[in-house]
Amino acid sequence: MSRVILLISLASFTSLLFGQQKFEQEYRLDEEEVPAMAYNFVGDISFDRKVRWYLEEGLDRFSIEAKTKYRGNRYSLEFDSTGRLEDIEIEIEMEELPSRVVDSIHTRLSRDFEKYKVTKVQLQLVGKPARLKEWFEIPFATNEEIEVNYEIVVKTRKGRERNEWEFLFDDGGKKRSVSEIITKNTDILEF
Amino acid sequence: MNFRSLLSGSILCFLLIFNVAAQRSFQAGFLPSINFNSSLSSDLSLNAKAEARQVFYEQDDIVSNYQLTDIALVISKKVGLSNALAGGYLLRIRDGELISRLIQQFTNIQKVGALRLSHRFVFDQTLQKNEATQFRLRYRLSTQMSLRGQSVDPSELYLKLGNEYLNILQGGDYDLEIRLKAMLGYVFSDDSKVEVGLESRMDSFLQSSLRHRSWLNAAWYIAI
Repeated sequence: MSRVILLISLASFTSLLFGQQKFEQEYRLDEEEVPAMAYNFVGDISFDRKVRWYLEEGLDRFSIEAKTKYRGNRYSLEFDSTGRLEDIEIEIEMEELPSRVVDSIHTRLSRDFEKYKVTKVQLQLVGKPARLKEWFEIPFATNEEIEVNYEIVVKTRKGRERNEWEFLFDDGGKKRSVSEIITKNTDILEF
Repeated sequence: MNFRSLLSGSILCFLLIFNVAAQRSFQAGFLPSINFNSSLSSDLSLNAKAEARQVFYEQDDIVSNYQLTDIALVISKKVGLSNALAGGYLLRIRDGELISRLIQQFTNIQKVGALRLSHRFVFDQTLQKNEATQFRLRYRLSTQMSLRGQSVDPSELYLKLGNEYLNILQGGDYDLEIRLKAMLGYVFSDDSKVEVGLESRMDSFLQSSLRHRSWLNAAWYIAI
């Protein structure tokens, strides 16, 4: 454990330029293990596909995540450890973002990196649980009481450095946060 | 491609191969291996592997027949985030004879949802006394998925499925070998993983009657 902390500390130091490293580990949860508040919230939305539950362990916190597919999009609903809803993430295509946000993201990425490739785009919704529940009645409808952010996973190259990052941009395309994604050892697939 | 269709496709392939092979030359055995991986720099790593082969069933007889030991040393360089180029040398010890194999390898590993998908291309040349050099062009598709979460983490079980095609050319003769592998793995820590499972190999498709070999496979991966 002390070695893991040491490695993470060293790695964090090297990525001060851009931000933090993303360290997450998750475990599958049975429905009975899910906090009632989270379970009830998801139960009130008529998802047509099976909902899978996960316990996500970060560096300093635990959270609960519900994952499912709804009307053709992948959804991820994140709750704190007590079951309070924190945000909803929906996987979308880059082309579905407002053009001013797309332009802003490309401007930012082309300024920071020589080459980059966006591999995942998620719409992040933050707001009161009641408002977020209403969102499912007419998905993607504008609601001023819901904060919209965009989570982008991007592979980059700068000089000899190749990295993978998770950026969070606000609805104006301004960077809110960034963390480096650490790739796990892949020797069992290579040899 | 979802996991369920991948799994059912692999099981179907296994069943088909066992069915066909039941009437052909059949051999079963144990294939233990140990694999050390050492990081030399941020993009260079050295991999050392030792693997033995012990046959315990041949046609209708239970036998105990040690066949060979392979010792391989491969150096791998990351090219981009998803690709690796590797080259190395394998020494095969069989019946007191030493056989050399040169290996060149390209691997692409992608994350597709909760799956890790690997495409591996290998070109190797086997050099043996009094035999023509054997050239093999191999392609392997393999996938790894956690049985618990979205990614494979310490103290978790995972499933690894693989399908490999080997084009073999020796002295003007061509042959094809097909391998299927299903492994159940356990991650003790980021530095130590163990896998056990079955590997099925079929060859001599074109030259003579079909040969089928099934291996009980056990592998230990250690990062040092």
